[in-house]
Amino acid sequence: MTQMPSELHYLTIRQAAALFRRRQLSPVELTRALLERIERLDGTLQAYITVLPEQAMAAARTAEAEMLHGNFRGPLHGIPIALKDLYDTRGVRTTASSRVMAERVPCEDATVTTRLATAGTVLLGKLAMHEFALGGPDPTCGFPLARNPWNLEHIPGGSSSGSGTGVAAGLCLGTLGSCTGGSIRGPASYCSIVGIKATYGRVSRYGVVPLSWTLDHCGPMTWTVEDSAYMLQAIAGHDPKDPTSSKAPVPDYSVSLREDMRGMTIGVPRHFFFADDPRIDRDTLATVDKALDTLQSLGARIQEVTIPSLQYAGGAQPVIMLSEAFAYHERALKRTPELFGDMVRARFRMGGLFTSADYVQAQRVRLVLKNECAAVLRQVDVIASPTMSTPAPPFAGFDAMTTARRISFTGPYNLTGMPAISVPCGFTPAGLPVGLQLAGKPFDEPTVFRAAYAYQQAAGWTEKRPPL
Amino acid sequence: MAETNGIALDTLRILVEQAGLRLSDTELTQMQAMYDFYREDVQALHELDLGMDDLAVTFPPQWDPES
Repeated sequence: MTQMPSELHYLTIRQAAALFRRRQLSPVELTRALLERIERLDGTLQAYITVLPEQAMAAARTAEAEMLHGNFRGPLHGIPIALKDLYDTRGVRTTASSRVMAERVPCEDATVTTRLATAGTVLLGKLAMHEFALGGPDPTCGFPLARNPWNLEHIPGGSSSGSGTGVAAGLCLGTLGSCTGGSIRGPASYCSIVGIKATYGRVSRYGVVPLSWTLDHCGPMTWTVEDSAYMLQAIAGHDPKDPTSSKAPVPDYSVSLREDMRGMTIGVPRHFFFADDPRIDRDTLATVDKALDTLQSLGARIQEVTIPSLQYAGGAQPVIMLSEAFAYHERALKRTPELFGDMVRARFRMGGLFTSADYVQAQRVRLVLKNECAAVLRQVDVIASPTMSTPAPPFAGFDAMTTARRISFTGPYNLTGMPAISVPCGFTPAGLPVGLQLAGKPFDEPTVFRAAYAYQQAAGWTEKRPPL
Repeated sequence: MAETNGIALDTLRILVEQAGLRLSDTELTQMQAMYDFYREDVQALHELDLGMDDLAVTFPPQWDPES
């Protein structure tokens, strides 16, 4: 097979799949190129906890053999991916970046691990993350801290830190993150890639180390919207092993990939996302305002909307998240607290100090927020905002409360369970990426994909790669 | 120390022990600031008048915006 592009590592999934079909590239060549790049760069970037070169090359050879026999399984066949290190992988250590699980080797795959393997993907390895999917980059957790490829002194976001770094640095073509308060969309925004959290119940969470049962979501992180659609297609759908899994049929997401927004209405709750608050970065808002102009130029109607309870989301989300996390980790927190990193140990302990009245009230506020969002979604197709209130902060000065002090623009949609995507929409004057967040009706991922794809195609930010 | 300026260390120590946790004095002092930070937001939740509606505390995954 002939190698065509000069930078194989920056291929999108769609591009690689097209080259495979034309027999201009083989999964073995692509996998080898990525493994070599990981070997060369990951000492600095620290995206990976575990690299699986032998397993990956074996899977790539299998995919190549199948293709040579004319058996193409689909757009993910032969595509080198990686998984956040909280997705169970049979026989491969799965740590959640914690010494508590440092030696844990699952005997079974997570449901989504199996589904991606069935789609023919090649697993390159397991990616770094913030310990137990919480908080920030903690040097005391005992695991590598991934760096932002756009500026190594800045965090890539989290908790799916290695997933953001891995895709943006060309160390894998796609990955799965997980999201309890923004851990897919946040690193996607900070690293100028695409990340989508599908509707709660759309993707199985069986075999995924939990942080908060009622807030956790799984979803893809990739260079482009279409690549995320391909990955979501592979992992979505009912799983009897996950009691929260939906039986709603899974539509064909590729149908949504249209460069047309005519007839769409986009709601913007400016009172919250564009508020005059010193914690919200003005350059980020200016960048997102330009993105809204682009959406309008594509035929969308922009409508200001009001969701009053957004102001309480930042109070409710941590109560639910940390209370549920405490319940899951209580035994380990009491028996072996020294195994937790300092940041996570402190915040998990905080989860034990909320009262039952706090938790119930947070859940009540959550329902009010959900009802308000439902009312707005009767008027508009999607809700747009910046993904993050600031660009990626530096490692220097990051402490246990840094994440807690900022305004979360992503957490509200973990509370409501709505699908939400982050798509690159530009850079600050300092050269740090900014993301546009689009959230939609429950199980209406097609409309979210349609809006994000139309914007991506018009704006072209996904063509830009970090200076590595 | 009056609790209007934040939780007293002795009060926090009782809460921590009730939760079954054992913290060093240094950890307890660090927890004091975190507790006060979160408590302010939680207090705002409690001050909301949500009425007497039957608000479920569970989160059903299947929700319908049209209903």
